Amino acid sequence: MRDAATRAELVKLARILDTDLDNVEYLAYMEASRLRALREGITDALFEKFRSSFAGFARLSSFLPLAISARISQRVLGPTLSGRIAGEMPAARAIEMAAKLSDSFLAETCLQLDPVRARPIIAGFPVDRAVAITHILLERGEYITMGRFVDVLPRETLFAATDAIRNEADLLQISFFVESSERLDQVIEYLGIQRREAVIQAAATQDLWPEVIGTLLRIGLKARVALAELALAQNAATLDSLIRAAAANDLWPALLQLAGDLPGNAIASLSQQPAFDESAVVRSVIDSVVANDLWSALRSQLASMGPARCARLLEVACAERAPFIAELDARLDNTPAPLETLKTALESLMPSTLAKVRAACNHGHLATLAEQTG
Amino acid sequence: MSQDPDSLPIDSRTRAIIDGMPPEDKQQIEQLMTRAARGQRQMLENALEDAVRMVPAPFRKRVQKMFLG
Repeated sequence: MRDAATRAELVKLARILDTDLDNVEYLAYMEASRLRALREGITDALFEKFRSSFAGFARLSSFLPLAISARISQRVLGPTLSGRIAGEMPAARAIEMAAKLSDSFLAETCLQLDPVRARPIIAGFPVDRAVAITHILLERGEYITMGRFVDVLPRETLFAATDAIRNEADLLQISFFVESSERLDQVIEYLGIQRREAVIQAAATQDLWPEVIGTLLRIGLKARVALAELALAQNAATLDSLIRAAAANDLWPALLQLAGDLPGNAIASLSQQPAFDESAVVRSVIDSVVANDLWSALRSQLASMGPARCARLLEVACAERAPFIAELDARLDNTPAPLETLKTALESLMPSTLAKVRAACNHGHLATLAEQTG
Repeated sequence: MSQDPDSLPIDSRTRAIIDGMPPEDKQQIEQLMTRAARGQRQMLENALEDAVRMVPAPFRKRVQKMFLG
């Protein structure tokens, strides 16, 4: 999920620098949290640098008639400067002026507004105008901006805007850019079970699993477990799409992290899906475990996966990833449940595969089990 | 030596992040920051000229004094 979170930050960074995403993509190697700190620092600096000018324009609007201020805002300042000047205006005056501006201009201004600085304005902003702007931002696919506003909107406005978004795929795309996990928890709770299920279905049908997993990792434990269990309780086609998305986007680190919060049967139902029989899927799990050092997480899920899936894991590893067997042998400890599962798995292997497991092992627990088998 | 009018007042935390980048990356982000500052400065200068023209005559002097001292 690091890539997706990083991508979100790069988009925000490009916007504050008034440049194309291409020009900041070279920073994709940085952690999302570091990019966020960089973006916030640059945002502050750009405000500080021109604060006196912004404050000047804000003062100007305080003594000019509202209609003239609104005309200057719309015709001269434009959305970029208006968004930045708004942060320096008294909230009540900014809201009065907003009443004279068109929804489309305000939507454009929202793209440039720092929601944190504009919090007092947002707090008093009329709900119906906020909903109208939500529709415009939605039409334009401005998920990043909408996500940023979720962090600061009053509850009443947030829930009205949530109701205005009828497409669950849009909700997912927005949730990915929300920074506050508490607000995400509130929205998920507000959605209710039917819309939550629709969100999961949207992920499956519109290839938005990375967004779902990214969101799950950022919400509170209670909401995370409830939503993850709901996802894993869906039909076979939905689970199949999740597995294929995990293989294609290397979501295994995130899924294994989530699995640690879930009861064993949740993972068992996922691992029993036919897609886990395919060598490409199993290979993706093996590669992810090795590349991301997920041995401990894998070890804790072996019993839930069951003997048949563990046997398939060993088969694929023997055929294509022999070093994985040696590493697994070294990483196993004497916890009984995974060892018992592996023992049964080894007993089901073809003799030639079992011989390969023995040959790949050194002197660990898997070696001992393999020697005891057959 | 006069200060670059488009240099940004970066705080120490942000400065540390930028200084921790490889030299080429650091140079590139600093160029982007300078360009963003320049763009914003030019936008403000243009906006001020236009705004003064749009302000009704009785307010014009006050506006000019406010921005230009």
